[in-house]
Amino acid sequence: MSLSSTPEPSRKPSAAPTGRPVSLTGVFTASLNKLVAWMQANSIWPLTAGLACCAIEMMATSASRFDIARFGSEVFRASPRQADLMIVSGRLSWKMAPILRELYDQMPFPKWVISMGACASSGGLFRTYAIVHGVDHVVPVDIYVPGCPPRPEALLDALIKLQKRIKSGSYVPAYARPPWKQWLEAPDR
Amino acid sequence: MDVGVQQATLKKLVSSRLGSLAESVDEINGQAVAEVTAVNLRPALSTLKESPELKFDYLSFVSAVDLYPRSPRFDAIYNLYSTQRHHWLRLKVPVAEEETLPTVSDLYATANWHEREVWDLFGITFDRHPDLRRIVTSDHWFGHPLRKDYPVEGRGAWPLGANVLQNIAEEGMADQADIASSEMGPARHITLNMGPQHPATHGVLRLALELDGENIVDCIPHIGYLHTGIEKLSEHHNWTQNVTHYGRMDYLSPMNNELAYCLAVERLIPDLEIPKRAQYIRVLMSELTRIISHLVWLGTHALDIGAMSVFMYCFAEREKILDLYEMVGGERMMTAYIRIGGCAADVPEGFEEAVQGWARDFQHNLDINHNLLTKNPIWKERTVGIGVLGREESINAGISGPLARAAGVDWDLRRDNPYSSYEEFDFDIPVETAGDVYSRYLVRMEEMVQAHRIVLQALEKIRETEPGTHVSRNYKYVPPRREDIDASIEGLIHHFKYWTEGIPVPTGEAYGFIEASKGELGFYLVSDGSARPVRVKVRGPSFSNLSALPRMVQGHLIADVVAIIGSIDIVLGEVDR
Ligand code: SF4
Repeated sequence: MSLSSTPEPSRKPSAAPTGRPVSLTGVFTASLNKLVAWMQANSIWPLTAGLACCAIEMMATSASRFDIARFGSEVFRASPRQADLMIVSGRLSWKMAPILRELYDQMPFPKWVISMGACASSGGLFRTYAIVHGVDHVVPVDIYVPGCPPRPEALLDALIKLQKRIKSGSYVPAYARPPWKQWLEAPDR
Repeated sequence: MDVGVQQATLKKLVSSRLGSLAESVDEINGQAVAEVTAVNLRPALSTLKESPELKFDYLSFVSAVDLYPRSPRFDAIYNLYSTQRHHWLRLKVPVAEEETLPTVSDLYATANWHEREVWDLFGITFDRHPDLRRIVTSDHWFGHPLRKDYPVEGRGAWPLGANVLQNIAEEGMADQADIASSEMGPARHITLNMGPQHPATHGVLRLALELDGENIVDCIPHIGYLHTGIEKLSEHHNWTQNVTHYGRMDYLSPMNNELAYCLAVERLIPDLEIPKRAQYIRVLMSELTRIISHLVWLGTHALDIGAMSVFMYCFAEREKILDLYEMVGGERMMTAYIRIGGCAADVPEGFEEAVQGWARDFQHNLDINHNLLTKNPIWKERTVGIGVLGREESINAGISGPLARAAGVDWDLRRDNPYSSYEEFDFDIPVETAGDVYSRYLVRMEEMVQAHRIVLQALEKIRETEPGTHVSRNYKYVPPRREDIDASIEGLIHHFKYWTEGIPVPTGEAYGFIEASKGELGFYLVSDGSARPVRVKVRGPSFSNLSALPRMVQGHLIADVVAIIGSIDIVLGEVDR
């Protein structure tokens, strides 16, 4: 394409996500639902809640080589009030369980949970008195990532899958599905 | 001096100094062990500590073994070391279920936390202990998990199912109430809770800080939020399987843990020779491990203090070593590469070039961080003179590794009690005297340089050994090679027995130790000749190092806590186990 044939910048149709109609005058038209979902999916802020070995891989995912910033999730928040995604990275002990739940409760809706690694998903190697055999006893999990520890690529894959679900607009988060739905709607909460 | 002669003289010396205080003094698997009664424990320890020839100034750990149904039921274990004379001694004190032991936390400050742990896990009471609370399990725990009658999966004190959430909600509330009631000081002080979810506590550590304005008056660390029950689980898996647990304990330096465990098991098996090649590979891998552990420390420590780019540089460098890990062990972190009898496999083709490729740039990459930090006025402002711990104080507090060396304790197990052929390597041990956060930084930075030196030497030495001798050929203890299974009936029998029965580790006890990236990492093992250990006690350096935190932070500002925690280089997986 030669330079002269390039349309004026303001007139150029911006590269839009597929399915979103764009007019040449620069005005977006989209269904609000989809637009919100699209924005949500591309700026998922995870909570800094490393538990064990898997947390080191989570850190590696956010560092130089794997660079989670490519997917808009580099903003790890220390405060649950500012986070959308809880990555439970590592084994959860019974002593820690109430705190994890408290953190989850403090996160604003909508929120998602990735259970990273064998320990978080099922207790993994450690079938002992001290460990919760699966964090889904404590928080509603949206995506389970296998591995001990999962490679950073696996975590990124989980993130992308979550983004896809959110973008689809029809995904019901785990907290709004049974059995967690009842807990959410219980009158004494 | 020859190690055997040394041990014999030590044994004689100990029995002459202790005299009638000791019931017996023995040598078990090349280590001196003295048995004393509970009444004589304190006098015996004072004698050992004061005696100028023995100088047992460092208490490595206090633990116990449940020997049910023996009567008396428990053996309490006190592991002593002399940082000047470099020798070890284990004291064994038989205790019945209803008996108590005197505390030794006034003789050795480090005993405080160790005794709490023994009380928590075994239910042995220590008289006059200043603060005998549970430490790794939660305050409302029921029973003592490391007793033999406690099931490994727990007693169901926490029923799974519908009421889990109810239970944990109550537990959470009780916890909050505890903070509010028990730890409040004078009225104008406020109590601030830090952690267990806090970006600067390096995991799930919780601190209750008592503040006067912004100054720290007192600090109570609460640990156990990552208590996994690894020691209990180890009693239920066989000797070979157990290797896999320990990489997951100190997950910043997995191979260090595997090495320490394997050395301890190998000490229990006198007829198991480790080929030189295997020893050199182990040295190489454990030095690489030291570097990745220090890199994570440096990255997160700097990140806590506000230097974001250092984190990125360190993790980029770490990735390169993880690639080497992956080459030898097939996994990025939990390789279980070091096994009893040697290593899981020989180093693959191209490994040498890969290590050399990494080594070429390493110094340059480390210099980037040096340039960013070492002379940086902000960095120095935040670290110089912060968190000072003196020489005597740190020995008394059971502190080892870079932390001790930063306080002027010239002690490194690689040099002073060499294992795995470390005596053949040429390296320096950096020692600083200030004992503050900055000198810990300097020590670790220099340690990485030295580790890099050792890696290159190990590479040379590996080249000189015969390929394929990465593991012992004693098929009683290592799985036979494929060729040997096919060629002979003995090979087949060994193979069958190895995988069905496990390895026959002789009855006895041993303590295997290494200088890990964080300090003295040791495994105390007791075997009754069966396929599973009776007791595995992990002496994690972070546990003792962390117990000195209150002394380091007192009088400092709250922002300094972050720098001090970073400088200790804790990893909670090892603190809580
Ligand atoms: S899944 Fe594996 S790596 Fe992750 S926390 Fe558990 S033991 Fe550690």
